Amino acid sequence: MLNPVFRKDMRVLFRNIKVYIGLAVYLFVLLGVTNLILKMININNYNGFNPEYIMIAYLVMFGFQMLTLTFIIPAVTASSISGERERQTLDFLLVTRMSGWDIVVGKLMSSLLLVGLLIVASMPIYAILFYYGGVSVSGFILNTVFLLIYSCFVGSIAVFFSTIIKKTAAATAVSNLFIIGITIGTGIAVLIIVGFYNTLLGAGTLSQSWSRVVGALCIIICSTNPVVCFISVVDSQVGSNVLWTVINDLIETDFSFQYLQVWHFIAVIYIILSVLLLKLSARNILPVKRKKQGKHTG
Amino acid sequence: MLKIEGLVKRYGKFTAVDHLDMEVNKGSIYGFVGPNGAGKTTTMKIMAGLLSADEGSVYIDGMNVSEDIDALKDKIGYMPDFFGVYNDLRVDEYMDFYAGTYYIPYEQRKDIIDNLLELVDLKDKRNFYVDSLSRGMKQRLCLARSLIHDPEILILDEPASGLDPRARVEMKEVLKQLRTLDKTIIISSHILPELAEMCTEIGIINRGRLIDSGSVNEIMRHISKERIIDVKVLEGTENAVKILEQLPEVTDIRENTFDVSFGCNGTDEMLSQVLSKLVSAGVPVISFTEREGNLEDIFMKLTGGEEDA
Ligand SMILES: Nc1ncnc2c1ncn2[C@@H]1O[C@H](COP(=O)(O)OP(=O)(O)OP(=O)(O)O)[C@@H](O)[C@H]1O
Ligand SMILES: [Mg+2]
Repeated sequence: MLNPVFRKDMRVLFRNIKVYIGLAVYLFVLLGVTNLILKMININNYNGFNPEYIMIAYLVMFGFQMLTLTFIIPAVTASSISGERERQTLDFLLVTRMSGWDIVVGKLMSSLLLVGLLIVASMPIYAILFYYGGVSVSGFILNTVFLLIYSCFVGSIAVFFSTIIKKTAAATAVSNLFIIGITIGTGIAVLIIVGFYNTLLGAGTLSQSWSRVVGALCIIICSTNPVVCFISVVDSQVGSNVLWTVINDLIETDFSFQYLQVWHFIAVIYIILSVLLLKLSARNILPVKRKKQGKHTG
Repeated sequence: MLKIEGLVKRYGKFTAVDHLDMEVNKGSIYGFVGPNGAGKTTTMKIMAGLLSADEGSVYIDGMNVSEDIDALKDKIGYMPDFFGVYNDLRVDEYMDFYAGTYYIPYEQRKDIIDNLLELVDLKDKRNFYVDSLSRGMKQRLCLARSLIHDPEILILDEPASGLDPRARVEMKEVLKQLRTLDKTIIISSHILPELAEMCTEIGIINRGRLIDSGSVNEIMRHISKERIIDVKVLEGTENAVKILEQLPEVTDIRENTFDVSFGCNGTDEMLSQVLSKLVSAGVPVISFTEREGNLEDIFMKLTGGEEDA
């Protein structure tokens, strides 16, 4: 049976005129951005086309879409639980047979539906790029799957804050700040780790053989960083190795994943973190915390 | 069916529910009465598994609500005192959504929803948007919604609050019909007479404690230990008052043109002595009758008495 919360939200979503207006505006902006890029790289002045430039246009569009989704998703998702609370419909939901998990997953699915709509609606614009060539459809499909996983992560963050912050506006703001926080925070964390490592290395406390561990640690930490996430997509599309080059430069080693691309790794991390966030959210909305036997208050 | 033992709920230092004990028998319609802030909503939320208690337990069919709430969700129907609705849904979609939250198979939903909308008299509104309904209709819709999974026990928190007299009557009609559904119903109100005619049992809560419970008649009998007597006289009520004022067992004397009323906290023997004293003092008594306990009076007495304490 389809998740009832998702089914209901879907019904409401397609009935909401604002969704269609928003969709139109979004497409319009995306089209403008694409047009601008194509103009900037002066596509018509070439004899034929330059596939490299098309790739750049594609990646800029993809990045633009990632960036906009990073802010759109919290805006539509942070109300998921707090909105029910504000509307005084949450109690009615909590007494039903739906588990906390079903409720938060239904809410996340609802916001992913909107993301899906935005992606599908932007397909025609991507089609222009496919028309010029230079971007593979299979690559695009993989990127889209990745974008959905990324949206899942951002959405889970917003759902999570929606369960602990009562006011929707505050939950939205905190979700956005949190994402900006991990963008800056993980960057700083990596620099600190690298600095620390290099100092210890210089002092002779650590040997060079630790460089791989530090490299792994860095990539784990920055895997939650949206900018790194975007770079991993660029790397996979262009066949470059920006991430490893930067990290290996910083710690002077030659660490890399042998069998998997960075964005695969990031996707796995995002899925794990999303599940964890949703589990926590499901716990948060439980009105009565299940007491362990033998633990009494008083 | 439902049993509450030593229930305590505190908000900070304030004790909203204070060692409450209560029992509701299967099939009864239990009126849960108390003034504003008595702790009705708090108690009912704990019953419905929406709030955790600090001490004590609520048992439904022998199962502890705080431990077995998942097993009990099918049995409990709950209607909160304040609630919202989803605006962009039609009445039948609204019901369908909640049918979904109880995982009722799609093919069974139409009949269930039809019957419930019929019950709450909203059948001709099924294609209306929920936010276009009047307050009374919304409240009836929510009642229907709390019945969607055919619960055994129904917890209704002030279902008629905030309604105009006409909508109240309509709601009452629906509630009366619920009696035919053979469910255990707990219904709260801060107005006793509103519940008296439809309930089989009544519990009175004040300051988080159950101060009385039983059938409507039983409660009246408990109260009528403090009896109110109306005395009609041919003439000279002042004389009667003068005599009554001398008697220690008599309280609360009120004088009207042709009658006097007083309260007496005593036995039948004492009352007959009061009467003979009046007569022997030459007061022309026409009638000397004990007043039928007025429920509102009783209630004011029961809850108001502790206000000064
Ligand atoms: N979340 C809360 N935080 C602090 N105090 C609360 C909270 N909820 C209720 N109270 C207090 O607990 C007491 C009992 O409240 P409750 O809502 O259970 O009363 P009630 O009998 O339902 O009253 P009413 O007839 O007004 O609905 C009140 O004094 C109220 O102020
Ligand atoms: Mg209340």
